[in-house]
Amino acid sequence: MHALDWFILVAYIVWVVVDGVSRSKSTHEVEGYFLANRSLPWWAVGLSVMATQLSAITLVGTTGQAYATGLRFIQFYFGLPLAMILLSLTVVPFFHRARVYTAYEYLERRFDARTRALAALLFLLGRAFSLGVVISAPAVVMSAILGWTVPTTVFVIGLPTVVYTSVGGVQAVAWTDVKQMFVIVGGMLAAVAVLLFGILEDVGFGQALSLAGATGRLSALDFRLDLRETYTFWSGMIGGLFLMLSYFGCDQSQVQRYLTAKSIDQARHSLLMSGYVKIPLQLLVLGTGVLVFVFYVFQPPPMLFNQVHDGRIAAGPRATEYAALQGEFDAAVADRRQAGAASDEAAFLASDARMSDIRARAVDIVKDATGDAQFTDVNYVFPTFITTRMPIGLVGLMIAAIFAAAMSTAAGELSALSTATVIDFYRRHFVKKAADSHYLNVSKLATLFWGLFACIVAMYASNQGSLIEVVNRYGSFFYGSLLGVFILAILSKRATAVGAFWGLIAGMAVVLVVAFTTAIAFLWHNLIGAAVVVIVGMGISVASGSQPQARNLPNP
Amino acid sequence: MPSEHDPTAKTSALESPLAGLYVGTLVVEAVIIVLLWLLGRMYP
Repeated sequence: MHALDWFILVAYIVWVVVDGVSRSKSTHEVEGYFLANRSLPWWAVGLSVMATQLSAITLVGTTGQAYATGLRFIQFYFGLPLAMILLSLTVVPFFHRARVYTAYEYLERRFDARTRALAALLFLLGRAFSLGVVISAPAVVMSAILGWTVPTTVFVIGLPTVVYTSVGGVQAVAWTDVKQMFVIVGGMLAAVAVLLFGILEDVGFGQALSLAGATGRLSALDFRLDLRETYTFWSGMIGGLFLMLSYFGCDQSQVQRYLTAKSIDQARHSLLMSGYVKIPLQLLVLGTGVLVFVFYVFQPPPMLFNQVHDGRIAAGPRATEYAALQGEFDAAVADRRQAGAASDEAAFLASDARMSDIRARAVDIVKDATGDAQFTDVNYVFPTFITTRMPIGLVGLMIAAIFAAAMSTAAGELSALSTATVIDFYRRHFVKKAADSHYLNVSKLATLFWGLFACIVAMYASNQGSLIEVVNRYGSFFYGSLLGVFILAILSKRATAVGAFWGLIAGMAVVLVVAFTTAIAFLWHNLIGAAVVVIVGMGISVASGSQPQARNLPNP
Repeated sequence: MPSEHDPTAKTSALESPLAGLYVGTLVVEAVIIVLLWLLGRMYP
């Protein structure tokens, strides 16, 4: 990278930390630190909600996924708008009126401390490991791109995030998220502009779309009713609905965002912002991946986008074999370019298939040489395009955008982990009556602890295929079950604490069995988990015959 | 601190000016889905 790009990246990280730390002025009390004194406007909360959800995995993994397979992943978000509406109608007013700090605090008022503790524990465990992946995934990719070691990249992402999150609390997190969203969207638009300028030098826009469409990359919708198929209209609309309901309704990292809003209506507006903007934003990301594919039809792509592996293999014991593959690849690239320029679809598809086959063989060589059976190239596509094809200055902006996406998500999750640790465990069960300053100090320590924990997980997490899928697969293990408990809590007056607790256990058990013994796609696990919790929970509640009691929580 | 369910949220929200926003988000999504379908048909 050019010196200007490094300057932009460093300046961005320094700016984020300084700005975040400066927000600590209004965070000397628990409500200010955890909930920004419930004072944020809807648009700031809305941008923070989106920034928390839009991780670097989206920028790096989703663009790569679109490069390889096209727009199909957009179906994953089809349930989101309806989820935002349902949450605005139910959960948002409940949590705001209850004046809770965490989503799980509400479960004790409705059920008992045991159910609250179990739900909070599931959140802590799931989110802490997920945070490790959120940091690890872009760190592995960016370390190869920037020439850093993985631990260095992990700490460049993790350390500034821990600093401004622990010092500034949720105020710092939210307002930094606002700025980071502008950096992210600005960076993506700049990438699209560069891609279009590059593509349109060689071919018209309509022809570019034809080339993408010829390889199926513009077929976004799959209406098959196949539970084993990961991304279909139905899995997104139904399974995705339950995932989004659970993630935005029951995960503290999102609940804490809209609890900071000035009022119930402001909180609703913030969620609806995602309802309107998330799908177009995701199309921008996926569309960028498709444009990268078209760009590389007319500009020679590398055989392997992970240039570190490419260099090692080319200089290693299988160099001759690799060089022969490279020759075949270069010939296929030239043929595809010629066919693309001539709009010869049959020849284009044939040469594209040859290229895919050669790349697969190159990837097999990497797997054999490194011992990494899970290695995949797709996550390096967009970062490689950025560092090799974008103008000086914009490279720094795009790398900053990737770091911004990682840090905004990590900050939101760190803040939530700290809040749940202090509110749902430390203050609830151990030190119940202490000054706010004591809890603030413990919160900062908790942020530091979870930050270090996540960085350690990140350094040991391995590359497991498409990053965005890995994170969502892990989430689908427990999100649906947590949603089921909140459904019982909010929509059923007959559900009892015993039913909710054992229903949650049953939901988790069933999802684990389904995940490991069937081929049902992971998006459906959320629906399954929620359904089992509700059915078993209601069954136990009715069978036990005990009267559900609304519980009063002593004011901590 | 409230200790019971608040059953009024759903009704009050549907009657509020937000109702238009709720419908709007579904309309926007429907339009996007139709456009994606057309895109797939035009460039198969």
